[in-house]
Amino acid sequence: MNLKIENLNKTYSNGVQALKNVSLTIEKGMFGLLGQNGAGKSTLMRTIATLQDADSGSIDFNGIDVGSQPDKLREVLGYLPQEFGVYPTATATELLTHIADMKGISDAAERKMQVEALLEKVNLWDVRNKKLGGYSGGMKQRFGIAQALLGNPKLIIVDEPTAGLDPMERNRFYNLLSEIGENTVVILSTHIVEDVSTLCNQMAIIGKGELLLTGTPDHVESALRGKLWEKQIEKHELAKYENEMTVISSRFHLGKLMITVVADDLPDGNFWTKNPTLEDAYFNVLSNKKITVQA
Amino acid sequence: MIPGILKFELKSRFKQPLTVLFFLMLVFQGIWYTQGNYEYYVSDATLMNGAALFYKNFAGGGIILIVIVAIITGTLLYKDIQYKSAEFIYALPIREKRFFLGRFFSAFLINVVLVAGMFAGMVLVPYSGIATPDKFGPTPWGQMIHGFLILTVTNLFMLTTVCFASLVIFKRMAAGYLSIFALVLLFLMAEAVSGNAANITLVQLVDPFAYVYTAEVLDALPAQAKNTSYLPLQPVFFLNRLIWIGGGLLLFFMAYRRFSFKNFITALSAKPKKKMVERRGAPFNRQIIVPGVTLTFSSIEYIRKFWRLSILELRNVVRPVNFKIILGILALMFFLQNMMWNATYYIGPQQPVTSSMTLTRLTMGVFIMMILMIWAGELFFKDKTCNIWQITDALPVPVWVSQLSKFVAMCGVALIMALTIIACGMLSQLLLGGWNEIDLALYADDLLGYRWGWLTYILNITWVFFLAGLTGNRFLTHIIGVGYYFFNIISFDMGIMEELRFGFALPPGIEDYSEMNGYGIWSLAAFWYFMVWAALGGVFVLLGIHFWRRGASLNFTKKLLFKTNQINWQGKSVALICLVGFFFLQSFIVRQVNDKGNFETDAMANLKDADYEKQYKWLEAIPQPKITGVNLSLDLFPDKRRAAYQADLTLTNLSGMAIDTLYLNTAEFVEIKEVLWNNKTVDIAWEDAEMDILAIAHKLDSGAIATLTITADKQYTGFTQSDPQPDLTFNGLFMGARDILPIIGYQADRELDKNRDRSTYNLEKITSRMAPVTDSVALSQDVFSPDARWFKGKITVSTIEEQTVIAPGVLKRTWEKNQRNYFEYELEKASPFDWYFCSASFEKFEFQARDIPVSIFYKKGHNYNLPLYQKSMQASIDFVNEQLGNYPFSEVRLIQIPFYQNGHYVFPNGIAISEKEGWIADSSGIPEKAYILFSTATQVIRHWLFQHMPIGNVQGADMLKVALPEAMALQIVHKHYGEEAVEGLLKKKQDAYGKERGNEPNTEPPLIQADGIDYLEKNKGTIALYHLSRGLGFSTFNKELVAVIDEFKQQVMPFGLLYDLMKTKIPEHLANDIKEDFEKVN
Repeated sequence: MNLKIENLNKTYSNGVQALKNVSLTIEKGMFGLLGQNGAGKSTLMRTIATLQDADSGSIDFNGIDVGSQPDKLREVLGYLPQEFGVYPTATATELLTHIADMKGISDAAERKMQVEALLEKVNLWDVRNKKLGGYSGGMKQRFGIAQALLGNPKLIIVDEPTAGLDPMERNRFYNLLSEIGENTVVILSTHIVEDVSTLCNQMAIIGKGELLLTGTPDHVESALRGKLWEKQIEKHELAKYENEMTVISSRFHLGKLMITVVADDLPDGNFWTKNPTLEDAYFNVLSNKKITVQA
Repeated sequence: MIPGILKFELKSRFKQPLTVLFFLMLVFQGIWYTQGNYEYYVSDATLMNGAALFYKNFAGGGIILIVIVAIITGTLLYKDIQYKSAEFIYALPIREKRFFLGRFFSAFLINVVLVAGMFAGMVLVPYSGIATPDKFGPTPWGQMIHGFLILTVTNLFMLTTVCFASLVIFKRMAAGYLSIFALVLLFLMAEAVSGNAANITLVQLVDPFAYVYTAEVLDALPAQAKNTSYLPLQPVFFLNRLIWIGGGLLLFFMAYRRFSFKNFITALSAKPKKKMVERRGAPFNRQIIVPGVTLTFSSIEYIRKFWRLSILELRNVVRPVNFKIILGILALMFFLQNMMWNATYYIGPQQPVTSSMTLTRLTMGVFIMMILMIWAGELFFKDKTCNIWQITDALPVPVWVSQLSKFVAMCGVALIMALTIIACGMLSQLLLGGWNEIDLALYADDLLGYRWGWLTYILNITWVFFLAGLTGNRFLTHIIGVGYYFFNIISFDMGIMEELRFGFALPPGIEDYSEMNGYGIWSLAAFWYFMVWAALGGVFVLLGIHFWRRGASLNFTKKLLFKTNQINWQGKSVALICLVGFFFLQSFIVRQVNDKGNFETDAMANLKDADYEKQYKWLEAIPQPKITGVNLSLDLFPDKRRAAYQADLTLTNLSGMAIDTLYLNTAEFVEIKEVLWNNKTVDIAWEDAEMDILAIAHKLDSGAIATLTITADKQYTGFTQSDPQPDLTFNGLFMGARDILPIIGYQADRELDKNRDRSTYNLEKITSRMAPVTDSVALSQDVFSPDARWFKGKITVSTIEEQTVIAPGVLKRTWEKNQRNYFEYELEKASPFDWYFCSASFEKFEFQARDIPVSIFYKKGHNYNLPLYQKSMQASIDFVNEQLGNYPFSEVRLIQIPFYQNGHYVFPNGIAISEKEGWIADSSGIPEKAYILFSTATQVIRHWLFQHMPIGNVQGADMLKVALPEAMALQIVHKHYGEEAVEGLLKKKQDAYGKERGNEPNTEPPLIQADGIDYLEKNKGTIALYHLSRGLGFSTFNKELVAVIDEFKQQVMPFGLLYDLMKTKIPEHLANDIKEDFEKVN
């Protein structure tokens, strides 16, 4: 079971090239797609989810050509978009039942059982008969997750799924995704690096429509091992360091500025070694210091 | 701060190309509506840039203006909520009241500036090329500015205040739109009922735009005054403005006080009605195992899904409270319409018959359709509006399942609407005591069918469905959908378009239901027109699915090239078949309607009449014989809309010179089979089929008599779109003799009598529609049939088994043969050749009036007012016998005829009264009783007058034919119902005269030169003659009349002579008034 994307291109009518020759293979399990806002993540997600046509290239999921057989892909797809609404006057049970029906669960008893199980699973059971218009952001997000899981999908796309969830809900949701990811392809699109590092066994970084990096989080992190250095500096010194070194990130720590630098050797004696994290790799890639790592 | 807001809003609005487009649209509307108003004012003296036309434009506003105002006004205040900019704008250090005022004045000012486009359009009318330069005068700048300020600007102010107040109160954009549309609805209702409103002042006050007042006052102005007059401002106008502008101000102050950022910003977040109670614990429960399911994706399952989804979508539409509120309001409106304003004709309310109840669908039709179209647009875009489209569009169901189910759901909503109208109608009938009038079949036909019923609603929904797919834009769908709908309605209403095959979903004959004849030929016609639009509707539905943008994936080029799989090849084939069917049916209609001569545009008809006059005017001077006898054998086939007949016309040469050629004008659709001259075959010398005229070359010496025998057929084939063709219809066929028999010589009544039309076709303008009394030839002609003298005649007529024929004369015998009913009538005495025949399925009610047998033939069930008709006939015959002389006939028949005929007809031994005149009137009130007596008495008096007083075909003829019998009938009303009843009838006539005289196409003549125009003799003429008779004393008037008629002894008596005689008898103190009435035009 895998999803194979080859040479995908998409340019919008305003001239923005959202996808540039993207090629990617995603195996069973959790796949994290990292990228800044506007990097092309949602375009890629929507294209996989059959909601948008690519200008060229192909997507294949288990023998289904998404371009020519979008209906076939929809039969195995669970999709949670980044932003979505609900019918405000429908209840959670009604809308989930309706979506279950649309997803092909034609047996009413099965439909009922799965809807109820998912309502329990996402902890909306008590409010299942309330109108969705009155749901809070977190409840609505959980509803979205439930609908994505209806029909036992083989390919699940979740685009920025933790927006609106509190930290506890977020953790629990990740656990749920991990469970599901054991038997399906789950694509998690996010700009939160930690989400990918804790959950995903595969990942890619996308920027300005281009695939900048693919691999496993471990590989991506280890590629920088021994090349990352950290130092505490004064604020006004930042420009100087940026001119002289490859500064991939800076942050404040106890009122002082901490910079992270990539270099093969110790830049100077005041730097100390830093253990690379996925975030460092991400910043490194976004700083256009591209390192290709094979998964 | 307010100037700053104004500057910013004006700048940002007017730099948008859409605003420029709006402005140009209003320029166009200014020209378009001016042309429409010009067509309405038929007078030759009215200029196309006359002030009256512009005043009406300013008051009416027009639909483009309303839509634009609706779009712009609410947005000015609501945009911060809509675009969520309120979150920071409202947090700025600005004063909220000033902000509110700034936005309000911006909206008002933008509206005024945009609507100035209409003003500009009106100024540009003379340069638009829509008419020749002689149709224009100097631009009436003063009147235009006056109208713009007192009507448009004030109306815009009111619309803006009402819209802002609604937004502040309800905090919903829809409330802004609906408040404007509610005012428009009120205006449309006021305008619709103003034609026959009992209390016109009330209607003028209820109209929020003061259009009804403006139209009423301007219509009454003489033609010349329409060009230059300022709108007269009477107290009712100021009261109207006080109510609406004052009301607007009140709402504005209320909104001003209520508006606050804190309050208004709550519109940004939906408030849960109840606080959600969540179970404490883990948000995602690991212990729950989600059971596996079986997925099915078969065609059968999609069809099942489609139905399930349709029901779900329907529930989603009807469940919200706002749907129930809107439906409730509509139901109340339907109910009130039926209870309080149901159709009236002339004087009062009707019995609660079903056809009256179903009229609600027409009077409320525009609003119903608009609501349904907007609901449809909202439903089709619901997933986008709710932002759930990314989920639903990624579901494994074909587009046809998800979209078509919405379409079906809207069909369900439309059905609920139709059923609501039915329920309100039936409830009204029950409450008004008309439970036995409930006609379920008619309810079903009118409200579930395609005559502005459920199927029409569905057609309009297909249009919206198509637009939704094509544009993919909710806003555009609403604007184009509703905009085209109004364009369609208004274009036909104003006569800009005439051929119904170009009007989407507009069936013919929807207003032409006859209690006797049902929809007649319209049943067939409406079916085929519906089929045309249903075929296009099918294309719309399929293209709507094909074009629907799923996700963001549908490439427009692919759409146009049909390179998508949103409909499969079967669907594409059906769409193609429907499209071919549409064009085929269009051509079928052209064949049935146009090619078979059932319809021609006004311009075509006028051109033909103009050509006739140009080509054959010379015939007027050619001597022709007179018809001096007719024996007619007529076989009617109402079920086939056919008449077969043979007529022996006795022709006498009274011209004083020999005649060598006989010219015959045949009626349309008549096919002459054989012509005999003194029982010998004669050839037709030449024929102009286009002008329906032929010639027979046969000599007839002066004083000689010959018999012309014509064997002919008349049959309508195909169907019609505008003319009910009532002379050959299924039940209630009513034809004049001249609908089948030829007219000899020049047919003067074909001449165009409106000077504007005459100018258009290069014909000399006329100074009068009738010849002066000094024209000896015209004076010698009988006004009813200029080519005939009075004579007796014999009529043998047959019809189908279930019908009875009424014809002129006494009924000599009846018999049945070959499942047909035969009747033989014979005229008792020589009478004007103004014969009519009627065939229908009748009930009969018989009684005697002064030993004269009277039979009333009426439609089964229409027996409400039979005792009243009986009393009226008895009173009228009593009056004739007592005041004038013996009633001229030994038996008389009173018959009911379909409503689309004129109100009343008289012919020897017969009176025909249209079904709209009193058969189903609610005659519980004195005014209704008085009207029925008045109208019946008029006909009885006509019987006497027309048998004793030949009327020449000259000016003043209609004073004798129309006004005199009516004035005398008022004496009977006076005797039985008193002065007040007479005054009521006279007031109606005064109002009608005042309103309609403004539409005089030429120049209004004084009564002594009255030349046969609807508004004049029967209104002003009747009033004047009644006043004359009162001044003289009824008895003296009647005696003098009888004396002068006796003096003339069956010779033609011009009205002027009667007037001169009466004038000598009137008291001195009334002389001036009478002179003013008859000899002057005020």
